[in-house]
Amino acid sequence: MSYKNKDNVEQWDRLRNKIESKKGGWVIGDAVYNHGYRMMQDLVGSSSYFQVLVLNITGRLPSKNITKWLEASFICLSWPDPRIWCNQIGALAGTIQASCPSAVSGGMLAADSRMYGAGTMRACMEFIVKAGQQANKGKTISEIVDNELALKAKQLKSKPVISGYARPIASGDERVTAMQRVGRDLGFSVGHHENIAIQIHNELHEKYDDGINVAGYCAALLSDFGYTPLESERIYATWVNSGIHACYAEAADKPELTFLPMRCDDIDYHGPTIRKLPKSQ
Amino acid sequence: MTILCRSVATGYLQLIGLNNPTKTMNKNKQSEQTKGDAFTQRVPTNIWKEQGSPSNPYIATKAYCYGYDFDEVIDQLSYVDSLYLMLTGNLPTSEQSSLLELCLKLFMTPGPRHPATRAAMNAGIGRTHVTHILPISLSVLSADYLGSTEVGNAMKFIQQHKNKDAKTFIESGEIAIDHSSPNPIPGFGTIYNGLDQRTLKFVSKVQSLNCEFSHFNWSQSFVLGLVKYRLSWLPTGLAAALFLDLQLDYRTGTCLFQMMQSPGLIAHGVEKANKPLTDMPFVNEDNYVIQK
Repeated sequence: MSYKNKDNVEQWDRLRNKIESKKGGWVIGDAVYNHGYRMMQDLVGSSSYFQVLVLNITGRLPSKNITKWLEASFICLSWPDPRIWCNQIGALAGTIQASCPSAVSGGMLAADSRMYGAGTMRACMEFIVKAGQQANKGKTISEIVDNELALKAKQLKSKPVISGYARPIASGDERVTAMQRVGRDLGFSVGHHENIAIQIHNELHEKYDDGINVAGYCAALLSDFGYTPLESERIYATWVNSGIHACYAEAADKPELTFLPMRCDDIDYHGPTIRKLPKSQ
Repeated sequence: MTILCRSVATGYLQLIGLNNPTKTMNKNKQSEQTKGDAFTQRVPTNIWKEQGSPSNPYIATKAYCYGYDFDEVIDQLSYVDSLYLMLTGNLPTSEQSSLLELCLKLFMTPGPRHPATRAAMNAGIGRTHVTHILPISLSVLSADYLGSTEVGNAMKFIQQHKNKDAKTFIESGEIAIDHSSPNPIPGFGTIYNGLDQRTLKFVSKVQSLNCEFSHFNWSQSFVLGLVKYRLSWLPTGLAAALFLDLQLDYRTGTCLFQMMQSPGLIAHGVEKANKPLTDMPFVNEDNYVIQK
């Protein structure tokens, strides 16, 4: 579609009050179609929810093993710990009796973050795809790491980190070990991107004491599964949702305002000293 | 349907210069240890101070906004000036006050055809709990095109280039104009293949304030240079330029744009909240085309 042609409205007129979908839709009295499948007949009862989730996003029905692995990766970000930022939003909603959908959608938006959760997935994917391409061209792991850190150092004022290879609060990430175990149990062999990701982890650990995190690891696996960065970002959009459910439920079931109550002096004011408004106001 | 699988031959990896595939990370590297960050125990802020009741320290008896007694702010300042104080910590000059008030009016609604407003109306007609109408529509309004993210990006763009001569800057080729995008430069582009006439009218209203708004003036020169590319102001670009002239940072501008558009979103959403389902279009069977 070009936006250059002067006031050409034909392309808009054609679509007024009309929907064209390659995904599918409801044909009343016939079926609900999804990428050629009839949902009630072909998918309900025979496919997992995660298979249909990926089908909806990508148009491709993945194998059950891939979606078993994917579902396990969602469990990795489903902690019932309200100290985690997105989860705390759920608890804060609960403590004043907001609705559960408000809490969960608010918490999921919070994880659209540069630091954690679904918001990191695109950058993790883009890095590992780039690293894979550089490796194919003969770059060593050291060169890949040094180039990326140099690039990040130009963009950031703080310590440069590679997307997928740092973590707030703690070092190490047991979720990676768990997901490796899941892959092994499902019979997965090590793919190109996973192999590179592990070597990058080892390199960073030796030199900088950083290491791969679960998003970086999942990005490598999703690249090996054949998903693009955009598809992966969409697949993981709701990554943190179930931990928020837990934190919301616990806070909502307790008396109002009992989640981390704050006294007035728990606010540490550093602003201007008490002053009068100018007379002219 | 494609079933994705993953297997990479060892020989291939050797061929491209990598070690043999290995699932093994160096020993114990994934064992977790706290970094021991020194988190604050109280919440620091420059904005708000509350004085607790002696009998119940959870109840505030007095509040201060950037050091001003908030009761006095309520009594003595206009809404616009209070808003500026809350967002910046400063009282506005009379020019800033007039400009902020004009912005509040200019950007009061994206109009009923904007996807954010239609999201509000969909929530209304769908009997969604009325408390969700605004968050739903604001989520849509977060967009990269005609949304608040674009406002922030446009603020960064103007800030970055405002010291360059606008005409020379355009001719230099430093920015590549991608005609496959309706906003090849954040804040500047087209709507439905045309120039946004409403925003151009808004520009003249800003000019009628007869004030020296440097970011606005630079952006207007920039737009004059874009004419031959058939690009012009988008509402987001105008908001961005004016927010910079209000001395707001891009993060505040991004959020303020959402707040400013809220009245229209609320009004259109609530208008539909108790109407029959048939009061909004539902595409009929003939016009719903499932493509192969």
